[in-house]
Amino acid sequence: METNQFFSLKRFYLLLRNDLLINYKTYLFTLIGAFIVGFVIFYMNMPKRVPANSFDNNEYMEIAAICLLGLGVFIGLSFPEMNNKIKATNYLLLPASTFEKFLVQFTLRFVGGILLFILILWIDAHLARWSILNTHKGLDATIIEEVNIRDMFKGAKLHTILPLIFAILSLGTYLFSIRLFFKKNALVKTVISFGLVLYCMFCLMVVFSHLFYPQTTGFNVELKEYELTTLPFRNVELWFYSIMYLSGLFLIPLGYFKLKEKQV
Amino acid sequence: MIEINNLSFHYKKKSPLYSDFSVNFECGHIVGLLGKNGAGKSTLLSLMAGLISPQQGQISVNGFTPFQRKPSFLSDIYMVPEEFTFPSISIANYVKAFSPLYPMFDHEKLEKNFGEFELKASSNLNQLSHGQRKKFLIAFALSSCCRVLILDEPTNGLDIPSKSQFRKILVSSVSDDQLVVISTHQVKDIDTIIDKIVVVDSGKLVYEEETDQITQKLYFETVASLSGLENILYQESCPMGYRIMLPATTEKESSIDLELLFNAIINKSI
Repeated sequence: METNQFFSLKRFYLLLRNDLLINYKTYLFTLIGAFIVGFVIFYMNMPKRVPANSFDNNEYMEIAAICLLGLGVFIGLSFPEMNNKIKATNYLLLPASTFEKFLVQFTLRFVGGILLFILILWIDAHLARWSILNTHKGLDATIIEEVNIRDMFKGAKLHTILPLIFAILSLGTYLFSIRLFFKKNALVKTVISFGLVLYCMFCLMVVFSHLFYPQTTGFNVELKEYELTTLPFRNVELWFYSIMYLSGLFLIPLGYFKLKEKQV
Repeated sequence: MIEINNLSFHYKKKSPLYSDFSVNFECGHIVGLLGKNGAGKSTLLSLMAGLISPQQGQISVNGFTPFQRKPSFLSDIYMVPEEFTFPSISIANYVKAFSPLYPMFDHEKLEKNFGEFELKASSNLNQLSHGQRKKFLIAFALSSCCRVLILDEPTNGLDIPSKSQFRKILVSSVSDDQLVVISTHQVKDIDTIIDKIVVVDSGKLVYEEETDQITQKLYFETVASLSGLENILYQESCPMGYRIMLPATTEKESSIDLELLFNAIINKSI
């Protein structure tokens, strides 16, 4: 295999530069929009009068979870050229390998998106707190705690945090890769397909429940939970974690091969 | 340079467009790929560019299988599609973003082509007319210095002066190691620049000949009346009388009436 036909750092850089030069306005407006929306959400949810419940890391986490929807949309809008036959033609004819094209989108939308998401939320949280403390009298700094990413995960066990992170990453890889199977309104169709996948999984579990537990009635799922002796979780958790950890490994190559075989 | 052997292709849920189709194009030619609407010209160009994959048969372009879309293949082929869109950026930014992807890109040639086409680097691509955008795309394609240039209906949307500029620039830009395939149904626009004619109809190669061979075999003329004329291969009436196609004689040679030749081929008169 000619490795240079698969990946070249120079071509990757040129393709990345090409994307940034063409789409810089879109990215800039997205960044500004995300920054403003994040600030408004934090500002609206932070207490402005005393007495008030303290606004701590749990509240920050809840807001971050809601803002993840925005990140999902940004990732789900990857490969924007694929929405349109003419643009897709130009994109597929760009002199770069499929892997480089895939990697550029992954770097910009997935890696860049996640890093900027964390950075924007962090800045927004600080800015909203600073704005409220400086404009609303009587509020002291202890009511609105300073956001601290490290403290958010303090006390949590690694084997409970990691699956959560991987669940978010897996959902991201689903939005990133499965959109390549659709042309117009790819994000909406991807979200609908995700709902269908979940529904099919549920139906499969209903079928299995009826097969293995004859006492199951109707559209119910019968699960027998038990502790595993070799691992620190229960059987259902192991099943859930396996899907969370492994689906990304399956979805990314799926997206790559879909792009490789794309016809317009 | 482009070898197509035993190609079969059909779109999903549609009848076969090509079956057992073979054709070869060598470098140093400007090939006119002609055919009626829906004959499969654009599909053939898409197959050559690797945008679609044939169901059967082999296509080789510069030694590459197009659908593998390897970077070395893509950096040596440029396709000007019939329909196109541009990002809302200036010509200069477009060139800055795309030209480095083509290793042989000639910026001096681009400047020259811009001058010929009266294009300004500061213009925003989306504020140009369709014809101006097409001229920009043709100028960019020719400056890429790719060994294979595929032009799908390049003269569509160009005004009369631009069509003659296009012909002039194309002839002066193309070198002996390049192959240009022009697909069009506006045969008059390219009759003076092509040196090989390929006609496809209903998925079959119905005619393939170099233009100097055609002039040796056929003679084209416009006459007021058909009386006294023998051996007419094909004729069409026109305001001045008749356009006729005859077997060539050794005494005189004519330029090719491409439209008449095309109609004769389609009507199976030759």
